[in-house]
Amino acid sequence: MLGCRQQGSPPNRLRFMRRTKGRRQPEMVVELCSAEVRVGDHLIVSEANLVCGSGEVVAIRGPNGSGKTSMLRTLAGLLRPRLGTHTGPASCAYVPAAFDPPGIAAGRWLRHFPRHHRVDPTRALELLEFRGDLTQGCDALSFGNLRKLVLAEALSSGEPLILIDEAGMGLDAPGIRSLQALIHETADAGVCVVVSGQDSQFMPEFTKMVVLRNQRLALVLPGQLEGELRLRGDIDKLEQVRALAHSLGLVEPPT
Amino acid sequence: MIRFQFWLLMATTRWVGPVLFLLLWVSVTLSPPPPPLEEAAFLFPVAILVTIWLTVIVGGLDDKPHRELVAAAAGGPVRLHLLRATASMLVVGPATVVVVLVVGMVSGEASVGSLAASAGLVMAAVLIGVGIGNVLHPPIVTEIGLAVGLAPILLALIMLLPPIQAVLRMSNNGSIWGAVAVLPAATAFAATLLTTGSYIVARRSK
Repeated sequence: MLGCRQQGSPPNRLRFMRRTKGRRQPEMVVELCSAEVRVGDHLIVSEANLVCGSGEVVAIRGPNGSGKTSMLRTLAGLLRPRLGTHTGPASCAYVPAAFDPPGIAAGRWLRHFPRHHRVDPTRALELLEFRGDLTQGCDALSFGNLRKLVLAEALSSGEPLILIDEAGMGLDAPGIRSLQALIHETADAGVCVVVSGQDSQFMPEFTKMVVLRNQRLALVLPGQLEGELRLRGDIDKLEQVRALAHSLGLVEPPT
Repeated sequence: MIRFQFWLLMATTRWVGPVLFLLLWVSVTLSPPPPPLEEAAFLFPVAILVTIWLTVIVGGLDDKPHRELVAAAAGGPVRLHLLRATASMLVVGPATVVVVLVVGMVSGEASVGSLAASAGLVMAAVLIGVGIGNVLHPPIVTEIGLAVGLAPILLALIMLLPPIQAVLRMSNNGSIWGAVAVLPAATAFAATLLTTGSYIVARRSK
């Protein structure tokens, strides 16, 4: 859902937007309320309202330089909004698009990476078809394998919030399919997963999608949801969603 | 988190320089082995320098995206900054304390009081070093050249302070009271600089 509780927006009315397969109502995991985000003097986004709940997969899209990474860093608590508020968990898993790999052995990096409730990452590594040598330094891994290592770490972190920048970057086709499956499996376990990417890139099936354009956050209603509502004949709900989106100042039309 | 920082540090060879420097200094001062308080006074400036060096190394072990990856897990940039300072202190502190204790045993002139005072004196140096070092690495100082230039200047300023001179004179004369006085002052100094460093890191993330 888009909008924040402090402004009196009614998040509960949008509950049916997520994939509801007998799951409980999501609890708020991270929230931006009237946030203005800047990097230095450069305005990234203003008046951003976003609430991400447990079990949701949120996709952030936008062209190069639109501020997707800065939005993820803000949600992770690494970049504080100049105005407005950010509310989120004490710690989270954040996967940057790329980093200079340290010389530490990949297995040691994975084993000693500080997490309170780590789940065994072996399965995630296998599903992502990690082909690197864990005894070698991270700097000896290929870009794709390093990416799979970090993704496996994040998806087995046990954190309530996982943020993945440029989700499909560096992955081969099987890796992308596995990542998509893993993301949904993780979300089904109650974790909030936020991914960013460009329009042309891989995106997992999302609960909601926000688009960054012209320093504004806009919600795009999932096409699948609209299709489902039409199929079920819930035209009233569809109209409610549209009306609510319009009242919240969302400029993107439903797809 | 501290164990992770330790493994990151061990995976590089950057720790070799300060460790060799410390060992060289200790070996020079050990012939013949002085009383532990005197050794601690000799070790005082070196312990500060080595701690600054290691704190800067630990703080600059990775690039910004990897630091953010770790910071998200640690609970934010400020918390990571403080944890890295703690990691540096936990590496250098015990090492320098062991050095003065071993010297005390070897010299055969050690009493419990002088050993404790010696340990306190080098721990004071380590605290001062951590305090200075924490404001000389990313994201506060991102240019390594600037950190290298500032570190000896700040060390010289500390060593020229009259209270520090007095403490070292007292320690050289075998009095434990200088060490007793300098430890709380060094703790307050380190706390002030760590707070300042944390404030700057918090501002930088805005």
